[in-house]
Amino acid sequence: MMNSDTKKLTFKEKLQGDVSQIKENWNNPTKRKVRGKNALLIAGKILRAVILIGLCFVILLPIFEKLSVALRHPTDISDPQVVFIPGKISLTNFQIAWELLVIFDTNAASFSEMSTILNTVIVSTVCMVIQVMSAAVAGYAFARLKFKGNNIIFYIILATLVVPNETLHVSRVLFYTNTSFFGIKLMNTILSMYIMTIFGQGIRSAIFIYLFRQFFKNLPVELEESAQVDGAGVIRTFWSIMLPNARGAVVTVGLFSFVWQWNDYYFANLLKYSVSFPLLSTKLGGNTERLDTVLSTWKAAGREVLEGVEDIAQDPLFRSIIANTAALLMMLPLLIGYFFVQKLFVESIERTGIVG
Amino acid sequence: MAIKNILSKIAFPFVWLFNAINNFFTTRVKYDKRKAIWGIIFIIPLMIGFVYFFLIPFCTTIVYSFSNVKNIGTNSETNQFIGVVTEWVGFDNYRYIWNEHATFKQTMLSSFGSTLLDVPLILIFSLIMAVVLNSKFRGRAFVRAVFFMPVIFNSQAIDVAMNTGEAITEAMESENRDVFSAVFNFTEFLTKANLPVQAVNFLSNASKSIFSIISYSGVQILIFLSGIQSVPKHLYEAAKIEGATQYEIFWKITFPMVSPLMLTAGVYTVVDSFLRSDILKTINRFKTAGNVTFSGGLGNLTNYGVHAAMSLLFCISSILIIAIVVLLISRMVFYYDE
Repeated sequence: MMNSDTKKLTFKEKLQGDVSQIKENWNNPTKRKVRGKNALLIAGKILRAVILIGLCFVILLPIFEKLSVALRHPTDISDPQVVFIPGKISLTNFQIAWELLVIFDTNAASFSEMSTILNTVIVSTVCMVIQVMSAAVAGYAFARLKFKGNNIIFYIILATLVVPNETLHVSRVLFYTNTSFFGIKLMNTILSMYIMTIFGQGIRSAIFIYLFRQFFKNLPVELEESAQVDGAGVIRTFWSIMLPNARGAVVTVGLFSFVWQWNDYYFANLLKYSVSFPLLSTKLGGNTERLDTVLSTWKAAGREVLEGVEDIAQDPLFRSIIANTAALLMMLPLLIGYFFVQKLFVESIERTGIVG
Repeated sequence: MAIKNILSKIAFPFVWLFNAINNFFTTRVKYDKRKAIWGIIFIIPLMIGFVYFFLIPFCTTIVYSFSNVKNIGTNSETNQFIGVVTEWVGFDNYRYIWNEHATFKQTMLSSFGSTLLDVPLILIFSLIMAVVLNSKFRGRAFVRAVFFMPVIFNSQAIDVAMNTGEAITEAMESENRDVFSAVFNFTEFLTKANLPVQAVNFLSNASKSIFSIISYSGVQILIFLSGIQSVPKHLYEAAKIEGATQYEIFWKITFPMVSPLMLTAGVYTVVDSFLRSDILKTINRFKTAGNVTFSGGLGNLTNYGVHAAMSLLFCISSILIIAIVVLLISRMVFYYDE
């Protein structure tokens, strides 16, 4: 009896002690502030996580849909029982799309017709390098090398951005077919794409020039002045001081230049270089005509993947699923490449050597 | 030795010229003037390209917009135009667009409105996302990669491939089904999961509109991201030592430092969203119809003439929008040096 009483007492005392301590903590203004700050931080983190997860879901859902549709066997297309993951995963669509895009063809007539993916990589890389250089040079001139009429020329160049390419299509085709650029014929050759990029008229060059100009304008003048005091000329200042400091712009421009060149369809059609130099985008764009030939060669080779479905080739659903799979196949290298490059994108942009 | 001598003699005038120019630059000319000269040299290739690849075709388009364009023939081998004949008709093309074309004016107005609405929405969203993506958290690399995906998938070639041919599109429309609504349907999936109808509608609509905003703001997010990362770190350190909160740091440091890029992103948004609007589809319908003569109330006009006139109106109106946006944003811009 006694024993339990003391126990009760001690428990009560303990409780009271705890409560008073909690009360003290609760009313302590410093601790209160710390607590409030921590709570705010955690709430912010949770909010951020919710928003990011939601947005990632919204972005990934259509891509996941595409993948799910692409992995279906052509005969299962309209099976209502399949919702997310097809029961029988088949790569038939991918095989057809592979042939359709001529990813790798050992029977090709010449080396440049062998692999569209190789061609696309070559064109995109070369154009990316050229575009970064020409845009950086022009952007630097507009930002820092002021001469009379500098701003007017810049705004005129910027105004070219608002003129849609389709507008100039007819007159461009006429002009390019009937003239040559300093002795170089512009039609039917991949060279013309490089020439256009060198002379600052590549894919959306104006926005890249704008980006570089804003970046160079944003760098402190002291950087340039100190280089000048140390005896560096204009080119040297540009090459060894300003350009390394604009690494953020270089990476951004390089990335977009590559991606847009990869996806380009308009210029490939305008300059007609796709005949001798086939690219992924032109093969994808012209897939309707090619699908029948691909399927007939399959049949001739005796591959019985589409057994028993003779008229499937005429089904619009089947055709658009093949187009969708081909689009996925075309984007896949970009996605994989981006996962490698984005590390560079994240970490290399720290500014070094500048004290404002 | 002899060859070297001869070479040096041949090279002498060139070396002398180079040295003279170099001396002239370094001794006689002030640094500012040297900079101006280099500026002009840097611009020259751009100007050549501009004149040859842009200005000449553009002027031709202007001429077309005032004339009746007739095709005189195509090269039988390459199937390309060799020439056209133009016949001056004055403002008839424009008169046709303004008075007789059924939908041009309304489409133009609605595109104007939607573009002006897009700009603040996309700018604010992409700035917030850039700030969020710049903060450190687990899985940042993955999230960044995901946000870039819509930019990759925004390809004209894919659009063309997915709308394969008129006949197929028509067949799909007549059967009232589209690949993904036939095969895979998010809304249906949610309904099957026994969610109430309102919730399903809200979720699917929200996901659609959010998706369109995200897919058009990838470029802007990256522009802001690179801008934020080039803000000097010592500014943030000083602010933290002074006890500034994240909110204050954003408004007092990040926002002003990024504001020059606001202009870039704004201009890009206008251009991009205007190029996506319905108006360009209306215009392109005239191009893809080929070289057809049709008689309006104003006499004979051709597709190419009307197409050129429409395109010019398009350009003028998008320059107008850009001017508005630049005027509004440039009040907020702050340059670090000034």
